[in-house]
Amino acid sequence: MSGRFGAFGGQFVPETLMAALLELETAYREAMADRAFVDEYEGLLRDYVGRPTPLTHARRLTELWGGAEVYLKREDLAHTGAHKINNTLGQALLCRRMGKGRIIAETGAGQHGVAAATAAALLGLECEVFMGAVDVERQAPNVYRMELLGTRVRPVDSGSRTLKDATNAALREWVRSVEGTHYAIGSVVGPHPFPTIVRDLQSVIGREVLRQCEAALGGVPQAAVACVGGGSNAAGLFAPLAPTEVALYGVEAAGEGLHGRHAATLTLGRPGVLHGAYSYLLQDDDGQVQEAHSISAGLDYPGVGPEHSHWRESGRVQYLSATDDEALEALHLLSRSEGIIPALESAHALARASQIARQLPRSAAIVVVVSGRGDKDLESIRQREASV
Amino acid sequence: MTRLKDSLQQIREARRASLMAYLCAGDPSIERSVEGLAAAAAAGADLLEIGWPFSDPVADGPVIQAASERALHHARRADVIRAVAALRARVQQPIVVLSYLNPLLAGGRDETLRELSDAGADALVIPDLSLEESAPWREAAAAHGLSLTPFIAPTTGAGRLPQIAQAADGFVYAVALLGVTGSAADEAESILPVVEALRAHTKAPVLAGFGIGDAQAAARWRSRGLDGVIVGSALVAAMAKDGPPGVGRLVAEIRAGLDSVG
Repeated sequence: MSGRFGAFGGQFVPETLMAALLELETAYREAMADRAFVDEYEGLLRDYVGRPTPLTHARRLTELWGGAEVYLKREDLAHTGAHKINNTLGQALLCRRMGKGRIIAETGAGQHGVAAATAAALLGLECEVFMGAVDVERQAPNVYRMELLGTRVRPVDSGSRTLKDATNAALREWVRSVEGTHYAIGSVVGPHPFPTIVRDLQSVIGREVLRQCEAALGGVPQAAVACVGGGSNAAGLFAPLAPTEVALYGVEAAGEGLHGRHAATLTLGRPGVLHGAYSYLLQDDDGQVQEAHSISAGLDYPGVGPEHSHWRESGRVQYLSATDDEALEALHLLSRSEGIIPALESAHALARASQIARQLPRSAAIVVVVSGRGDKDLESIRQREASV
Repeated sequence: MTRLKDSLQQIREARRASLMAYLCAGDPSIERSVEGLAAAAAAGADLLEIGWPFSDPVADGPVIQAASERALHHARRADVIRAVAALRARVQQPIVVLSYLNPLLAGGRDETLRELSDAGADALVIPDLSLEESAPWREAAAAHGLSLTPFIAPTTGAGRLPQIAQAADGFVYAVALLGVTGSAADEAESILPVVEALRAHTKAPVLAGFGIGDAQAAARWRSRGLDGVIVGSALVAAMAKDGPPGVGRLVAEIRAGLDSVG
């Protein structure tokens, strides 16, 4: 494993953590070459997560948009309600294989936290999840879910009190406890080997899409779209599709708009180092990291996975953005047209997919990843809409 | 870099322990932080470490995080460089700049290192720059006459020590515990075997930092064979409570503690 995606990636961490990163890289390489490990992981994806998740033909949405046939990759139907479980099960198995009895994680929307808590419960590991105090507030149901699963949730009160600072807190805790603890990072971010491991574990999304499109369409779709915060569901979709001719689109959170508060890192940021990797970053002229904003806690992050920075520079993926309002509108549209209430994160992908689909002929097909279900967002959406 | 090497050499010849004092630039103001470090110098600090405030200081505990947040309300890039120059005008001791990578990157690596060097800095401590990523920085630092300080930690494997030793053109920063700055002391002393093993590869002085905040702790590390100590969080707290005179008093106490060990 190289640890670099073009110029991006790397291992920008304190010396204390280097031994753990080297150990993790070795453990991961050996685990992937171990048939028993891979069988156990794939068995869990099948019998516990419920994979493969369906590829749903969205007929009414296709009619409404009047362009390409729309297909939804249903990660919302994975156990715990989002794609995050694909990653946490793999990392929890790695944790156990390394002889560590405890995992820690950061979480924004709480989806990764719930997935980490779930994997920890299943494998009998101790688990602590760091969550910004703002997110603890706006994602209360997920906090309670984690607690039910036996995980301790630690609210983080420093800085922006969202995902960035939860990640800082998790890194600090890992430095303290590194000898017996694995840090199950939740996205394709952080120091090498995390971006590679998380991408590989999420690539089941893209592999299934290729197989399901072969069955449904007799080939690949013309376009595929996913939302990008840190970018794990998008990396899981893009990595297997990158060698094909499918047009790939990542959609970032434009928040209140690109001239206001937003989380459109690849659109408006510039490269820098945060949380162990060199990648695009929202920062001021002095290199101080700026606070991101999105209605969706899962996209509310000023960094992005280094492989996305590479795909942006190489032009293989086109990165767009959708505002809070556009995401909300898309959430309503999918709910009423297809009976699927998506997570606010996924709604960003749908918001831009409408335009991409309209530019394609009816003979074309577009795949949109519904990365998670919207249950966790209902209360915050209800409050926002009641106050308008 | 000559100033740093000469200073470390003189300390070694005098069989004294080195004391490096840290304060965050701009906490509570650029002028006061410079005064605080000048007070530390007057009270017996051998090396002055000036922190570049950063929004995401992952190696730091709550005390330095809070100092960094206070400083960021008003300290911009130019102010930090101005603080280095102001300190250089007041002291003879080597000045060590502690910064996370991103503030150094944002202004352009070479441009920033040149400005720091011109302002009178002698060395860099970059907590999120691993040995693996350090080669281009080491080259750039050397080109501008700056020493780039390598780290050892309790988790550092023996296989890394020859490279760390080779990189040590000033002193080696020994992280004295598993944790962030200002943590409670590590009773297990798990860094000591790493220091011991490193000695086989280099004669460079090894200074222990993290969790060392008073005369007793400093004396303990000296008697364990370390060449000196680095004090940060405790001085930042003294600064917040009693200003530069408080910094001077604590440095004098720690100096006495270090000197009490033969």
